[in-house]
Amino acid sequence: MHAGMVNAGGFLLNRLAPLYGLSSISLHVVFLVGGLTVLLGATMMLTQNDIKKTLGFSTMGQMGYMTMECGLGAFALAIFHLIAHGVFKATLFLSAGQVIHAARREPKLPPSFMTEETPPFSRLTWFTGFAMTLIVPLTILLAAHDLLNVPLRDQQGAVIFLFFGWVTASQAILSLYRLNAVASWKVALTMVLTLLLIGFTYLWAGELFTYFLYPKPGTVAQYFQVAALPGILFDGLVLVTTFLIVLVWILLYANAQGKHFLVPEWVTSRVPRWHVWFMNRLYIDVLYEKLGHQVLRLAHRLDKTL
Amino acid sequence: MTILMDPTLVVAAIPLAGAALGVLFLRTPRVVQALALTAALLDLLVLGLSLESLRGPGGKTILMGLFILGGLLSTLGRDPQRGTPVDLVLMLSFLGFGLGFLSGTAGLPLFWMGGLLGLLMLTILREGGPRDAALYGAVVLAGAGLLCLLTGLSGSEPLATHARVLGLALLLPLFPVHGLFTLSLSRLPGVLPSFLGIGLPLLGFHGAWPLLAHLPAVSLKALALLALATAGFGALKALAQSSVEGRVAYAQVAYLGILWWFGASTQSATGATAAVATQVGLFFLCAVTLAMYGLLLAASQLQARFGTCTVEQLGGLARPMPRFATLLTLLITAAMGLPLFALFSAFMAIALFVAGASPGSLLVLLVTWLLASWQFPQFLQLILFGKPRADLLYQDLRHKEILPLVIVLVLLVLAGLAPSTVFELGRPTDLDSSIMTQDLPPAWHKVLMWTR
Repeated sequence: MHAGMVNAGGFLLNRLAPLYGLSSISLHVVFLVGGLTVLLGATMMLTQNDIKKTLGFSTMGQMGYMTMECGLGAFALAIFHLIAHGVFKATLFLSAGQVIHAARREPKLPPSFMTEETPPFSRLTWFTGFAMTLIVPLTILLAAHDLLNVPLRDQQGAVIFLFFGWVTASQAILSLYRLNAVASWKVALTMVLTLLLIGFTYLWAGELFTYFLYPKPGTVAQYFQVAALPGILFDGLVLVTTFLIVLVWILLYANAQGKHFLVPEWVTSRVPRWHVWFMNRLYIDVLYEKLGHQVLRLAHRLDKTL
Repeated sequence: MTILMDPTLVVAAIPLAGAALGVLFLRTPRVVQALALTAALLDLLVLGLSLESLRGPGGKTILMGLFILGGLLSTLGRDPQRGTPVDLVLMLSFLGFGLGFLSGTAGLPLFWMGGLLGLLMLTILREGGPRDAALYGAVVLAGAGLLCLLTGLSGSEPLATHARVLGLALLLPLFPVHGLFTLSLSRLPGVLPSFLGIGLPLLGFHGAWPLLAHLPAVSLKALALLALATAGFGALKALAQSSVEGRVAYAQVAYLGILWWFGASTQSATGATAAVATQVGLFFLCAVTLAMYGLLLAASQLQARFGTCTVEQLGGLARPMPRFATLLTLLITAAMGLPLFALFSAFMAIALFVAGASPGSLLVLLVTWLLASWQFPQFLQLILFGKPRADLLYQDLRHKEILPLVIVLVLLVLAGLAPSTVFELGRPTDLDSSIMTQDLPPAWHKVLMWTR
């Protein structure tokens, strides 16, 4: 179900690329919808208490991510994303059963392996993660821009490929840090390999899929042109995302040092309520059900009258 | 002798002769079924042999082929042991009158259409009880349709065109004169609902579509609004129907409302744009009627087993009838307009056509599509899932019953995958000429690219 039904939507979006390519507004709406889906999917995923629901909302977030790629005109990249996500998420779904089975046999709640103490802060791991997420990609970008004279400012398409590759690699490295923040050269090396693997795979697969799906010269450039966001908005989105990633690393460092940022009282007091709202999927399905009942009542009334 | 060899007359005469013979063998249903099959096959043969002489504007041969195929498949899936074969005789008569109208025999389309409407009135009266208001309402509508066609023949323009469009709107259903169509699909016995479900819209399209170009702009605007009302009304009414046939009938009304809207929005154009719009409209019509025809065939299989049951009474068919459940799921996928099947391609063709004109039209299309197809998942869930009933004797489809449904699905897939070939969309002789660059909307280039 996961590999078929979910990907059918993404496939359909790609199949209709010629239709979407007719209108900038449509592609901007697609981008907006994708962005909202990412935010909602990821937030809801963090508040679920069931492994399958967590995976389901993670899929929703990934689909939103892929929709955003389509909205930016990177249809070939979205297809690569679709295949890659289908493979890894199918593995997670298959493994979920094993985890559930193991959890049922675990006499302690929560399981004993979850109650271990947090390992001490590792400078090696933190700095490797920070460098691989920020310093190395920034150096490569500046080198490409200034030394090799690649006009990145004028090529939103190329920036999109690089940006999505970078965000994905950052996400993977952050997850790796969160799971294995121990002082180990193996973890540090894995972070380096993660960046290389994701970066190169994104660029290589992006190019390969582009030539395979859109061999006619100019087609892809046309999509990027139609989908191009206003310069300030595009730069702003890139900067905000970069700022958020930097902020996460700073927060991780501060937490490890025992320092806490001051969060206003009105925010902390509302967090439990927001948690409940997101855990209940913002009650959207309840609203949809009520709307369905209303429509059905209207239909029956209409049936009696006419 | 020359008249007798005229293929336009022969295609209409074969089923009528079959019906006349069928009356003589009403006590032996197998013979009547064999007669109906033979007549339909012969008709297909004649149509195949005389394609060139029958070819005409608006995809006449495609309409005729689909009409005959409807008769053939409806007969093929019918169990001869169930009930008297009067429905088969009536079907052959409708087929004869309909083919006469489609082929335009001897310039007497009104004769054929009048015969068809008259026969439909009699069939409805035969089914009706003394206090059945809906049935009598449909009879009155059929009578009014006849009157409109007569006015269209003798009245002055533009009254005549308006009257003819109104008369044909009974067949290609348009709110508020949809009653005859929905009643024919939901109340008539045997093979008639499925056959008329495919036949009536084809006839209505053939008669009404060319007339749209002659309507004044104000009437076309009013027609477009009425068409949108039809789409919304059909979608809402479908939700409230208790019978399978009723749901399918109103779903078809909703979809055909979209076709009316498309016709009213595009037929004021001239030249190649109007020609392409006709091709797209024809493709959409065939996709809708074929998908709904499949559902009506499936509904007739249910009726043959369980009699007249409401949708709620039928739940839980997935486990005891797996073959039926699989085919119904595929048919509903096709009826919703999902990919691989013809209706999806037809919607895409319309979307690409109207997208170039205005983004608002695209939005209208998407909303009406959503409305019209919204009920199908719930419909599927109600029929297939839940607990099977202990008091019903479930019997899955037999090979003979599966065949028509599989043929419909194959046709839907073929039409969905190869619309440019099947429906002559973008034929080089028609479209790749200099005229194309002059007055075709730019989006049509995308249509051609996409459909290939």
